[in-house]
Amino acid sequence: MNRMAALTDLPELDELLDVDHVSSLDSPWVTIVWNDPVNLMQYVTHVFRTYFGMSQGTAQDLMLKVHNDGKAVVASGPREEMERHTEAMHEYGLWATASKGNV
Amino acid sequence: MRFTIDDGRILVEASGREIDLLTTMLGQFTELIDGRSRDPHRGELTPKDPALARLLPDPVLDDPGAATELRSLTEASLMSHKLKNAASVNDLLAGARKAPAAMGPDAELAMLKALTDLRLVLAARLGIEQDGDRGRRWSLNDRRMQTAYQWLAAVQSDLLDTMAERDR
Repeated sequence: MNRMAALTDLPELDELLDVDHVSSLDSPWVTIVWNDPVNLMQYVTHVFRTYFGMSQGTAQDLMLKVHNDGKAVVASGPREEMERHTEAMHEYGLWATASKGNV
Repeated sequence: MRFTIDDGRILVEASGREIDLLTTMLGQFTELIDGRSRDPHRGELTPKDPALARLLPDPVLDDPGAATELRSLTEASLMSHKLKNAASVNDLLAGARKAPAAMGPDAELAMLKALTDLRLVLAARLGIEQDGDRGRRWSLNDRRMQTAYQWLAAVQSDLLDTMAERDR
């Protein structure tokens, strides 16, 4: 079956092609947390564990990656979701950015 | 300032001086955020004040246009979130003047976030920019800010330890 032909039959096609939805199909975005000299390692681990629901070990490894490498990707996925994570990190006082990623 | 566990809840006990110090800093923090809400470039440009720039960072990397667009959508709610945390800690402390006050989960989170925000401002004022920076210690005011900066870290660390012990 020709997938394109089937799709064009859908009356909601215009809605589906809304720009935001198309951008979600694009390469995923990432949320990056950057190292800073202020936040306690214990606090950063706590944030990763409670906000992202990571295990203590995973959260601690990720915190150490931020600390040692200067940054770490903490999440990847649709742009809107990565922007929401970034804002949540700012609410916690962590320095974070969203960007189009290659992961 | 001390945190203890009472039947699964965390109690905060603080001296009058500690409460005064925290309340003063939270008041200054609230003024700082309120100042941004009067800035004609609020929700558009990165704040010029390094403390505000760190509290309200550019949300998108290497794309000033997208950063500005997202800032216009999120900065106001981020500021009101931070103000709410500060107000919550203020309320908690007001209730802790005479006897230890019990903290619910919301108060714990608000305290962790507010302590972080205060330390971010102090670090910006003291010029602590990268790992290993000790910050300025020239004036009496610098040294007071240094003391507050270290004290807030100790309070936050105590709270995190107490929460971990409670949740064990």
